[in-house]
Amino acid sequence: MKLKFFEQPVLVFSVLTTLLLASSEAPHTTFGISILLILWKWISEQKGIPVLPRKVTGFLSVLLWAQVYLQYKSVLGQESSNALLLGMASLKIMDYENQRDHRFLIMIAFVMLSMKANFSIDVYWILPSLLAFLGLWWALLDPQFKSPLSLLLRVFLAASPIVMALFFIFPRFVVPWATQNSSDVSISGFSDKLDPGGVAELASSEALAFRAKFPRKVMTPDSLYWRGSVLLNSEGLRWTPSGSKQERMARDKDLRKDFDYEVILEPGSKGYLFTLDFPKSIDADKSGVFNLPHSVYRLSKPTLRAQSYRVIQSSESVDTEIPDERALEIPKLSPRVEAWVEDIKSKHQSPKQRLLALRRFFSDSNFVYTLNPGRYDKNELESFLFEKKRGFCEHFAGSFATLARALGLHSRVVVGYQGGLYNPFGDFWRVSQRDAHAWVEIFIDGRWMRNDPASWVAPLRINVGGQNFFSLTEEEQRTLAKSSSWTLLKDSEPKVWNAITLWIDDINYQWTYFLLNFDSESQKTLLAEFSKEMGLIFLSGVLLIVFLLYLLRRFSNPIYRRSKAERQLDKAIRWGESKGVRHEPSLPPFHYLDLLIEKFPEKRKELIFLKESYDSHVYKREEANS
Amino acid sequence: MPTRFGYVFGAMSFILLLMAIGYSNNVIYFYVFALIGVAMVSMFVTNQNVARCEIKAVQLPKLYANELITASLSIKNLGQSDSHFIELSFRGEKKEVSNLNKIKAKTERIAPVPFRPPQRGWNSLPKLELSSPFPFGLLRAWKLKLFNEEILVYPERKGVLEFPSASSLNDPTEKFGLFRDHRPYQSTDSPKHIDWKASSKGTDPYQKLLVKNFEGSEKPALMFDWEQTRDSGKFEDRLSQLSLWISKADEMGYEYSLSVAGFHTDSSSGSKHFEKCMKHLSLLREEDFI
Repeated sequence: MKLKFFEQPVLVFSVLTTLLLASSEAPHTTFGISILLILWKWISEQKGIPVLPRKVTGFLSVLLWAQVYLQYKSVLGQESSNALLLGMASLKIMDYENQRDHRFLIMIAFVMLSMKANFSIDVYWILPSLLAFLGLWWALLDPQFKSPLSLLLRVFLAASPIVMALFFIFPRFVVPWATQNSSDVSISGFSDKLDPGGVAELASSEALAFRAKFPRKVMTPDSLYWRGSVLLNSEGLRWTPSGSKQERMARDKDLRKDFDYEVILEPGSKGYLFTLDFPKSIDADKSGVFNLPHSVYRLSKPTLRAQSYRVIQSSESVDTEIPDERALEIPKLSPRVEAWVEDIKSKHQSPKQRLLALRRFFSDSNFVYTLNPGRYDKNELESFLFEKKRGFCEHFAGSFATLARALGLHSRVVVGYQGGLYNPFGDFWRVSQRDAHAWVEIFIDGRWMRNDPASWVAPLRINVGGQNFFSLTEEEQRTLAKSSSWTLLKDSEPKVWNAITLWIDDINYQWTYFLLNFDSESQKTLLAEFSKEMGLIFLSGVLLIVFLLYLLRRFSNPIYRRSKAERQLDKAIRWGESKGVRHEPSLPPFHYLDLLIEKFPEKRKELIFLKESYDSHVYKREEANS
Repeated sequence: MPTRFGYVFGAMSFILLLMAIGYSNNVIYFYVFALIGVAMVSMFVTNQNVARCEIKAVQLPKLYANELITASLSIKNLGQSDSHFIELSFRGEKKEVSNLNKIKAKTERIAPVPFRPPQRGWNSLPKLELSSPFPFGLLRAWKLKLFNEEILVYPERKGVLEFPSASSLNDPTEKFGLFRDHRPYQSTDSPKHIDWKASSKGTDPYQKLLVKNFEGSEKPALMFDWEQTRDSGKFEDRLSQLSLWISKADEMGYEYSLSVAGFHTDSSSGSKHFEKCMKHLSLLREEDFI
C-alpha cells in the first residue's frame, strides 16, 4: 500500500518539529532547500503532481554529501552531520511512499533529535523534543491500533526506572577522542578587540553570556567586573590585543568542591573564560585551561557547547605584573588632543595628580553614556572628547587609556562584562550581552588598578548592571545615569512577570548545571550516597512505579471508567435522596429506579430512558466483557 | 528476535551512545537511555503480547497436495490484557500469513490460516507459528504450536476436468425418480436425460445443455480405472487425474468405483467411500503395480 506523508498527522508533527529544532543550527541554504522539498511533497500529495523520482533524490543525496564535505571538510562534525541529516530527512520525505521509507525517516528523526543536544542543552528545547520523541514512537505503532497514547504512556512509565538507572549507573568514560566539540564557525558575541561601536552593538543583544554562582559571598553588581581579554595596542579609540604566549595550567581537581565562584558559559563562548580580578586557580574539568599574560584565561580549545569552570580568587587580588614600554605606546594625536595632554602634563607632575586630572575631565565634561553614540573612526579622539561627547563604554575606556598613556601612565584596556542580574530563586547571577563592558587598568603604586570611566559618566549603569540599566527608556537612561540609586526604579517592573522569568531561568540554570556537572566524579559520590540508603530508595522507587502503573491501568481500562449512563444513575440517586428516597447500597440500580418511578410518576419518561441506557451501556458491556 | 528494523535501531542507539561518550553530553546519554529503555520495555510488551495467546484447536478441510486450503484455528487470549496484531502461519508458509488485529482479553477467536500441504500420503502437520512485532516492530516474538497428529494428504488434483467417456456404466437398470432441478450437461450423462426444451429457453447463447436432476439415484454410476489415465503422463500425474475425478464425482454426488493396482471398490458414494478411495490413492506406490 502506498503511504502518504501528510496523511499522518503525528508523523508530520514529530518530523517537522525535529527538522525545525535542527534547522536552527543548520545553514540557511540547507534549511531553505528542505522547506522547498517538503512543500513540493505537500503540493504533490494534495494535487497529484509528480514528486522527484528516486533516482533524482538519490543523486541529490550524493550532491548533498559532497556539498557538506566541501563546506565543512568533514561529514562527522556537529554542524556538518546536522546539515547532512536535515537534507537527508527532507529527501526521504520526498521519497516517502512505503513502510520502509516510514521507518527510515523515523530513524533519521531520532538521530536528529539527539544532535540538538550537541548545540544546546537549554531546558527550553526539552518540551518540543519530548513531544517529537513521543510522536516518533507513536508513528511506529500500527495505524489501526486504537489506543496509542495509553500504550505509550505505560511503556514510557515502565521505561523510566530503566532510563534513570542507566543514566546514573552507566559509567561515564573519558575517551581521548572527540571530547571537545570545537567549531571554526564564528559565533556573534564577545570579541577580544575594541572597536568604536563594537561593545554597544554587542550590548544591544539580550542573549545570555554566562551564569555565575557565589556560594560563599554576597555580591553586588558594581563589584562584578568579568575580565575576558586585555588589550595593549592603542589606535586611539580602537584597541587590539597583542600576541602573547599562553601556557597550560595544571588541573586542580579540588576546585570541584571548594571554590569561590562557578561560571557556566553558554554554548559558543569561543573559549574566553571570564573571571573577576584576579584568579588564583581555575578548573574547567576535562577541558584544559590556558593562562595568558595580564590575568586572562582561555579554554585550551574553543567549544560550541556549554562549559562550566570554577575559580579560586587570589587572597591579595592584585596584579603586580611590571608593564613594559608597550603599555605607553599611542598613535599620533591630533593637535587639539596633544595640546590638552601637554596642558595637563605641565599642570600636574606626579602620575597620581595626572590621573586625578584625567578622571575629573571625564566626570565633569558632560559626557553622555548611550548605546547610540553615532559613528567614530578608530582615531577620532578629538571629535569624541571635545565635540560630540556621546559614547558607550568602549569610547570612554579607549579614549581614557590612550590619554593616560599620553600622560605617561602605563595603561591597558580590559574587555568583558560588568554586573549581571541576580536570580534570588537560584542564587546565581545572570550575565547577558547587555552587560558587555570595557574599562581601563592603570599601573600605579606598583600595581594595576581598575579605572572605569563609565562609572563616572553613568554610575547607575555600573551600580545596577547593564540588563537593568538598558531596560529603561533612553530618556530615563539620560536623566538617571548620574544617579546611583536603583530603589526608585525597582517597583516599576511588573513583579509577577519578573518572578516567573527568574523562576524559569532558575529551572534552566539548575538543568544546565546538573547536565554539565554530572560526570564520573559526581557519579561516584551519588552512588556512594545511594548505597547507604539503597534499600529505602529502591523500595520507594518500586512502590512509586507500581502505584503509577496501577493508576494508569485503572484509568485506561474501560471497565473502571464510569460511563455516561453510570454518571446519570449517580445523579438520579443523588436527586432521589434529596427527595427523601433513601438508597441502600445493597439495592440494585433498577430496583431503586423502579422505586423512583413509583414515587415520582411525572419523571417516569426520564427514568425509563435512564434504565434503558444503563441496561445497554453497562449491563450489556459487562456481559460482553465476561 | 530483533527484526531488521530492530537491528538498525540497535546500531543507531549504539552510535548515539558513542556520541554521548565522545562528547560527554549528558542530554545525549539521557536520550540514548530513553531509546534503550523504551526498546527494552517494548521487548517485554512484544513477548507478553504473544505469550498470553494459546492455540486451542485446529480444524482442517480435505487436504490435497500443493493446494492452498484454509485451516480454522481456535486461538484464545488467556491474559488480562488484549493482544494485538497476531500473525499466524504454518512453518514454511511465510507467504501465507493470517493476521488478527485484536484478541480481547479472556476471549477466543477463530482465525483462518492458509496452508499448502506439500506431498500426498501421511504427513505431520507443520508447526504453527504465532508471532507478532507489536508494538513498535523492533522485535518479533513468536511461539510454536506442535501438533502430534498425522494428516493424510490426498494426491494433488490436476488433469482433465471432464470425466472419461468410458467411465459411465450405462446401467440399463438406471432409475428415474421425481424431477428435482436442472444441472449442466456432463460428458457422462446419458443423452436421454437432456432437457432440450429447458436448454433452448436460456437467453445466454453460450449456455450449456441442461440435464434433469431427479430425486434418488438417477445419476449414472462412474467407474474410474488406472488405465483411463494412460494419457496423463507420469505416475504422480495419473494419480492426480484420478484424485481430480474422484473429488469431482464426490462433490457432484455421483456413485463411483475405483480400480487401481489390484484395489477394487464397489460403486458407491458418500464420505466413507470417498475417504477409502482417496486414502488408497494417497498411499499408492509405484511398486504396487509390479
